[in-house]
Amino acid sequence: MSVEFLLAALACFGLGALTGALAEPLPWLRDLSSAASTVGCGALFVAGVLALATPSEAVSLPASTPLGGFELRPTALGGMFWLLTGLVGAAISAYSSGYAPQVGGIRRQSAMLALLGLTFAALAVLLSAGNAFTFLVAWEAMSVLTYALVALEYEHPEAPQAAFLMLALSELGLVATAVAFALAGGFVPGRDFAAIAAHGVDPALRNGAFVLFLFGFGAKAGLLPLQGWLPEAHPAAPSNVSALLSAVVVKMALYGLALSTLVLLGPPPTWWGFLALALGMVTAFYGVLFSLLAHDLKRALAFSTIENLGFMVAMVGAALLFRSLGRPTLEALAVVALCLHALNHAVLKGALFLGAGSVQTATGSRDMDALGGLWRRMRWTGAAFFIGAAGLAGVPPLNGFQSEWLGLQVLLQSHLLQDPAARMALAASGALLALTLALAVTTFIRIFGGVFLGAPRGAAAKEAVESPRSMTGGMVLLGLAAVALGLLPPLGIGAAASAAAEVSHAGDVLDAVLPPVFVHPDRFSTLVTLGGTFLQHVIPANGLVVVPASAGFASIAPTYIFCVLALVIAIVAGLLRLAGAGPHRRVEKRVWAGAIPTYRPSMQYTATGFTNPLRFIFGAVYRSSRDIEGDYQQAPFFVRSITYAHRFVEPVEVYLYGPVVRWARAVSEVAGFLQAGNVSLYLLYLFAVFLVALFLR
Amino acid sequence: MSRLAELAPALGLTPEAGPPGELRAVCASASFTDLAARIAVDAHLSDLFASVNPEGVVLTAVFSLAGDPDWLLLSTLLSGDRFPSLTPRVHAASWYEREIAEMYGLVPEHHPAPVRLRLHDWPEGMPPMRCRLAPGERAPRGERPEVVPEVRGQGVFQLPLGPVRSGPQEAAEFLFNSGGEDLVAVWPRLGYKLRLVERLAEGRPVEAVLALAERLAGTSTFSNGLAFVQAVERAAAVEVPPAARLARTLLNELERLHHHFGAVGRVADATGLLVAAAQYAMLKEEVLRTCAALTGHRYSRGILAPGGLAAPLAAEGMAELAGRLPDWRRRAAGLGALLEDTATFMDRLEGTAVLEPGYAAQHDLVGPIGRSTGVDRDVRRDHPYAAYAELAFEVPTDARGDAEARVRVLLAEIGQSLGIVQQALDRAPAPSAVPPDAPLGAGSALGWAEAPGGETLHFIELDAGGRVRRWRARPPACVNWHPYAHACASGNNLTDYPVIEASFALSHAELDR
Amino acid sequence: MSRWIVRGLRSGVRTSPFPAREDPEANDAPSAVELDVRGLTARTALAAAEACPTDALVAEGDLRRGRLSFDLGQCILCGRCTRLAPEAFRPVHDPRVAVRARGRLSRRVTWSAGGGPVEEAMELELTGRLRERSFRVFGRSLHIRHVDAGSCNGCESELQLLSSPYYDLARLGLFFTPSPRHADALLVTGVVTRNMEAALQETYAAIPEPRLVVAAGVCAIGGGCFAGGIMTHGPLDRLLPVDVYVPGCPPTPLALLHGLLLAVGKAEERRSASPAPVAGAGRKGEG
Repeated sequence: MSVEFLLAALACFGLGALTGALAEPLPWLRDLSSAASTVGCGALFVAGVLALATPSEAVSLPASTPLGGFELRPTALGGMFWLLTGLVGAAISAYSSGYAPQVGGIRRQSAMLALLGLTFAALAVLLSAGNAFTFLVAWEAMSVLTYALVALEYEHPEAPQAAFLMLALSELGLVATAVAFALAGGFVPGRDFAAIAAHGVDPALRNGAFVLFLFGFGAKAGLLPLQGWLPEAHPAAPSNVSALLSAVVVKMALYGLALSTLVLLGPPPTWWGFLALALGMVTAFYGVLFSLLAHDLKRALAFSTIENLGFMVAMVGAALLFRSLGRPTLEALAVVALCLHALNHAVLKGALFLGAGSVQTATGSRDMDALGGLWRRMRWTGAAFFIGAAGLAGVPPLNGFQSEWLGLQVLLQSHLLQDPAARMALAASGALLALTLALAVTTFIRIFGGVFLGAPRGAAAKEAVESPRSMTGGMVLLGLAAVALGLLPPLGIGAAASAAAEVSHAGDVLDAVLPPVFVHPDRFSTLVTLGGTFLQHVIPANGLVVVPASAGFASIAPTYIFCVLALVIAIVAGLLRLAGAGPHRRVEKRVWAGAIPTYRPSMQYTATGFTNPLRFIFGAVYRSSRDIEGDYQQAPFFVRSITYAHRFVEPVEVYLYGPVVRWARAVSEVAGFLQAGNVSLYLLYLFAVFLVALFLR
Repeated sequence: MSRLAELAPALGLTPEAGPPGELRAVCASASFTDLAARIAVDAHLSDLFASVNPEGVVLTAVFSLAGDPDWLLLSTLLSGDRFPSLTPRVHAASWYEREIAEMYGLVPEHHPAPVRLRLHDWPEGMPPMRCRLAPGERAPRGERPEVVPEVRGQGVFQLPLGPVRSGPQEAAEFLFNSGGEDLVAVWPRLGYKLRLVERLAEGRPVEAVLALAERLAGTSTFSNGLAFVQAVERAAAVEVPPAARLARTLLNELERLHHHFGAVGRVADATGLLVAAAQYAMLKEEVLRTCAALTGHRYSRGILAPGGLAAPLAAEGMAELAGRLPDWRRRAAGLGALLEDTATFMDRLEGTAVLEPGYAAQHDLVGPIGRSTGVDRDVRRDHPYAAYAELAFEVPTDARGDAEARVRVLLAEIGQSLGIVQQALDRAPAPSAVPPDAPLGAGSALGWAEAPGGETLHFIELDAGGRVRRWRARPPACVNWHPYAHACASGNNLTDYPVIEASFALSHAELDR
Repeated sequence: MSRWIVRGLRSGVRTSPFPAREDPEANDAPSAVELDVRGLTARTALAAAEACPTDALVAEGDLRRGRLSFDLGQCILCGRCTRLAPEAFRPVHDPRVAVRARGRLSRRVTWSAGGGPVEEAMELELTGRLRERSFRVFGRSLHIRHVDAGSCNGCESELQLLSSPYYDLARLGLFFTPSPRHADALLVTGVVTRNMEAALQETYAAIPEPRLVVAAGVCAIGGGCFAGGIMTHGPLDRLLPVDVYVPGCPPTPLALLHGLLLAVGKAEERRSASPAPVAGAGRKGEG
C-alpha cells in the first residue's frame, strides 16, 4: 500500500517540477507547482504512515548496472522519515508559493520550484532505497539539487561560496559512503540491503565500514569536525530552502547513519557506541556555544541545528552501545528517542526557519541586533516562531521537551548497565547534554526576545508587516503539528516505536515507552492511582504517560500537564472574576528608565549583549577579545566617537580547516608539475595506466 | 620671596597689593590666555571664573605652585564677549570655560567642545548670571541639546542610569554604552541640582551668604563655610583668635572623618561587604552625634561666624569626643587592616577605573582623588589655614590611580585625621569668647579649606555696605568630576560600576551648586 | 569572611529604641526650633527676624505695634535666634516634628501698644490632603521611592544613615525601593530645581495609587535659603499634593523616621499648639 502512495507522491513531484520549469512563460503555473508539491508531500506522509503500520513489498527495476538495479523497499525506519519529510515538506511547499517572489525574477522562481519538486522526489526515493546503488544515486541527486538551491541567489557572493563548500564536503562524504557500502556489501555487486543484513558483514571490514559511514554521513549531518559548511550554507540559502535543509535534508544523513550502523552492520563492538556518543555530544555542545554568539538570526538557528543533530547522533551512539551490551529494550528506547527527536526537531526547526524567512521578508534584515518588537506587528509569524523556539528550548508540554527528556532518560539508564566504561561514558554524556540543553534555553530566549520582543530598534523593524497567507499558512501548519505532537504523545511515539521495533528487533517497544494504561489498567496500579486513565474513552491509544522503559524510574504525561495548567488558569481567572477583579482600566505610560528625558529603543538589551557574559565564561573556547577605540578631537581628550569591536574564533575553522586547506594548497602547488598542460605528457599517463591495468588483469 | 612672586615679573606682570598670601596681577585681555598658559606649565590652575563689574566682564584665573604658600590671581577685563580659549593649551581649564560660557554668555574661541555644562533646557541668549528676571518669573523652556559622542559596534546598546537612581542617592544622569557586560563608555550628564547659589548670593548680607555657603553641599558643609568665612575675614582683615582657629581645625577634621567613613562604607557596600558597610556607617553616625554635641548641629552648621565661632564648643561635647576618640582610632585601624586583608574586596578594586597619572595630571585634580594619582597637594600643608601650621600630619599619596589607590588614600587620611583630632584635643582649646560683629566694608579676598573631597576655593567681593557683590564657590568636585568618564571606560565591566562610583565618592551638589 | 562576621557580632545591638522608647543619645542635635511666646518681647522679635537668614522669622511693624510670623518650614536651624533670645526660641530635641498640614508649622504673634506679644489663632489651612481613607494598609510595609530634587546632599546623607545599624528603618517596615512602580510613597528632598522638575513629575506619575508624598527638609517644604532663585521651581506643594512635612536642615534621622511613620498612621504628631517646653528628651540640663 505504501508503495502506491510513494509512486503517487513521485508523480506529483514530477508534475510539480515540470510545471515549475514551465512557469517562466506561464507564471500562473507557479501556484500549481507549489500545490502539486504540497499534495505530493501529503501523499508521502500517508505513505510513511502506512509503511510504519505494515511492512511492504519491494519494487525493483531489472539489474542494469554492475552496482545493481534500481530497487525501492519501504521500511518502517524509512517510513518514519517519510512521515517527517511529508509533513514538513507540505508546509515548505505551501510557504514557497508565497515566498517565491523574494527569491528573484520569474526565471529564478521557476528554477526554484522545479528544483524543489525534484529534491522532494530524490528524498522520497532515498528513504526507500533498497540497495546501495539506488541509495547513492538518490543521495548524489539530493546533494546536487540542494547545491543548486543554495546557490540560487548568486548575486550575493556568500551564496555560491557556501554552496560550494557544502558540495565539496558532500562529495567527500559521498566518496566515503560509497566505499563504506562497498565494504559492507563485501564487494559483492548488487547485493541489496536485506541481503546484507541477513548475510552479515565480514568482521575484518566492519570497523572500516563503520568509520567511513560515520565520516560520510557525518559530513552531511554536520558532525564535528565536518560541520563547517552548515552555518554558512543554511543562512545563505533562501529561507524555504534553509528550512528544507535544516529540517529535512540533515535528517537524511541521520537516516543513513541509522540504516547503515543499526540495520546493516550487525552486532557492534562497544567502541562504536563510544565514538558516536562522544562525537555527538561534542558536536551538540559546540553547536549551542556558537549559537549563543551569532547575531545573524539564521546563523544562530543553523548552529542550533548542529546542536540537535549532535544530540541525535549521540542517540545513535547510545543505541549502538546498548546493542553491544546486549540490551535490546534500551536500544529500542534510544532509537525511539532518535526518531522522535528527528520528527520533533524537523517540525520545530522548519517553523523557525520559515519564520526567519518571514522576518527577513518583512524587514529585510537578519541581524537580531537591529530588529525587535516584531511581536506586535507579525502575530502569526511570532506565534509560530514562539512555538518553535519554546519547543526547541525544551519547554513542557511541547514536543521538544518530550524528545529531549526521553534522550536524557536514555542516558540515565546507565544505572542498569554493569560495564563501568559504559556507565561513565553515559553519565558524562548526560551531564554534557544537560549543560547543552540549558544553554539551548538561553539561546532561544535570546533569539525570540531579540527579534520579537521589546521595542523595534530600527526603521525596518518599525514598519514590518505580516507575511501573505500562504507563508503564514505553512508556518501555522507546523506550529499546530508541534502542539499536536506535544499534547498527544501517541502520535509521535507510536510512529517512532514502530521504527524502533524494526531496527532493534525488540518486541513491544510501544508498550515499553507508552505503557498500555488505557488498555490494561490492572497492570499499572501506581499510574492509575495517579490518574493515568484520564481521557481513556476519548483518545484511542495505549495510554498518555511516557516512561523510559520502566514506570518506576520516571514518567511524564504532557497531556495531563497541559490539562492541569489550563484548569489552574481557568480556576484562578474565575476566582478573580468572582472576587470582583474585573478587567482593569488600561493606562499606557512611558517605560520607567530613571526619568531620563528621552527614552530610545537603543536603551534595551540586544541579542549580542544578552550573551556577552558567556563570552567571558567560555573564553577558552571562543578566544574572545575586545577592542575599544576612540576618535578624539584633541587626543586623548574630547572624544568624538567610540568604536567597539569584539572578536571570537571558531576553533574548528582555525585549527583544522585552515591548516588542511593550506596543506592542500601547498601540495597541489608542488604537484602542479603533473598538470603541465602538455598533451604528450597526458598521453604518457594514459599509456602508463593502460600498462598497469594490463598487468593487474 | 615666593616663586610665584619671582615668576610674575618674568612674565611682565606687576603684582598688586592684596590680602596677605595673594598676589594679584592684571593684564590685557589679548595676552591673558598666553600668560595663563605659561604660568600653568608649572603651576596648578585652581580656578577660572568670570565676574561682572560696572566696566564689564572680568576673567580671573587662580594659580598655585607646589611648595609655595601664595596664590596668584591673574585678572583681565574683557573688551567684548569673546576670548581666546585656554583649553587647547591647559586642559584643566575646559570645564571652567564651559561654565563661564553658559553662565555669562561669553564665547571661548577655539574651545574644542564648548557644550553646556550644567544648563539643560535654558533658552539661548539669556546667560543666567547676567539676565534680568522679575521675582517669581521663570525663564521659558528651550531646546535641550543632546551632545553625546557616538558609540558604534555590533550589539552595543545603551543603559540609562538616572537622574532618579536606585536608593537615596543624588540626582545625576549617566548614559552607559555597553556591549552586554563590557562597559564601553559612560557619559555623565550633570547639572540636575543646579540652584545657582552664586546668583542667589548677590546683594545679600554676609550672614545670609554664609548660610548658603554651608548649604552648598552637605558632606562638605563645614569646609565650604570655613572657606567662605576665611575669605570674609581676609577681605576685612579680621584676626581670628587661636582658640577659635583650633576649634575650627577640630571641626574640619571631624567632617573629614565622617565623610571618609561614609565613603569607605559605600565602597564596601558596593562590593557586597555588608558588615564592613555597617561598621563604617556606625562610625559615621558616632562622629555626627559628637559634632552635634559640640556644635548643636550634626553637620556643624551655624557654628561659624566671621571672626571666630558663633558659640563656644560645648564642654560636654569635648568630654564626649575625648572619650570616644580612642575607640574610634582602634576601630578604624582594625577595620582598615581587615579590609586590606579581605581578598574579595581588594580584588575588585585593583585595576578598576584606572586614572593614569599622566592623564590625570592634565586635569589639576585635587583631594584624595588627585593624591591617588600621585599629585602631592593638600592646602592644609601647602597653604596652611586655621591651626594646621602648628599641627603635625602627613599627606598620603599613591601613584597607581585605580580604585584601590583611592581607597587606600581614604583609609590613610582617616588615620591622619584621627591623629590631628587627638593633637587638637591635647591642646585643649579653651572656650573662646564670641567676637563682636566685625564691621565689614568693601574688599575682596580668596578663602580656602581642605574639604573631604579636596581643596575648596571661594572668592568674594564685598561692596561698601558689607554685602556680597560677587561670590565664587569652587568646591573640589568641580575639578574631580572631569576625568570620571575616561576612568569609567578603561576596560571595566558593568558590575564594576558601583565600585567605581563609590571609590570616587564625588558629590553632585558640589558641581551643580 | 568569618572575621567580619565575628566583628559584626561583637559590636552588639546598637539600634535605636525609637519609637517605642525615647533615645536621648540620638537627640543631641535639635530637630526644630520652638517659639515660647511668654519669653518673647517686641525688641527680641524684631532682632530675631533681622538675624534670620531665611523667611522663617518675618517681622512687620515696629516696637509699638507689629507682628512676627514664625514658619518652621523655613527654619534652617542656623541657631541665631536661639542664641540671640534663648528665652523665646528654644531648640526642640524631641524628634517628633513632622506634621501633616503645612499650616501646623506656622505660628503668628502680634503685639501692640499696651500689651505684650500675643499669639494669634490661625485657621489651619490643610494644604495636605486629609485622608478619609486610612493609609494604615501600608503600616506593615511601606516602600519609599526617594527623589533628590536638588538638595545639598545633607538630607541624602541622613537618609542613607537610616539603613545603618543605629536606625535600621527596615525594622519598622520601611524600605527604599528602586522602582517607583513598586513604591507606595514618594519622599522628596531638595528645593525642586528647574532641571529636576520634569523628572520629579514623571516619578510621581509612575507611582500607582494609592500613594503618599513626603517632603523632607525645609528645602522641599519652603525652599529654605534657596527660595526665590531663578532655578528654583519649588516648593514641593506647589507641584504635588504633599501628605507629610518633615522640617529640619537636614531633618535628623529620627525626625525622618517619625515623618514616615506619621504618613502610615503609626505615629502621632507632637501636639504642642501651646508653647510648653518639651520634657525629658535632650541634653542633660537643657530643656
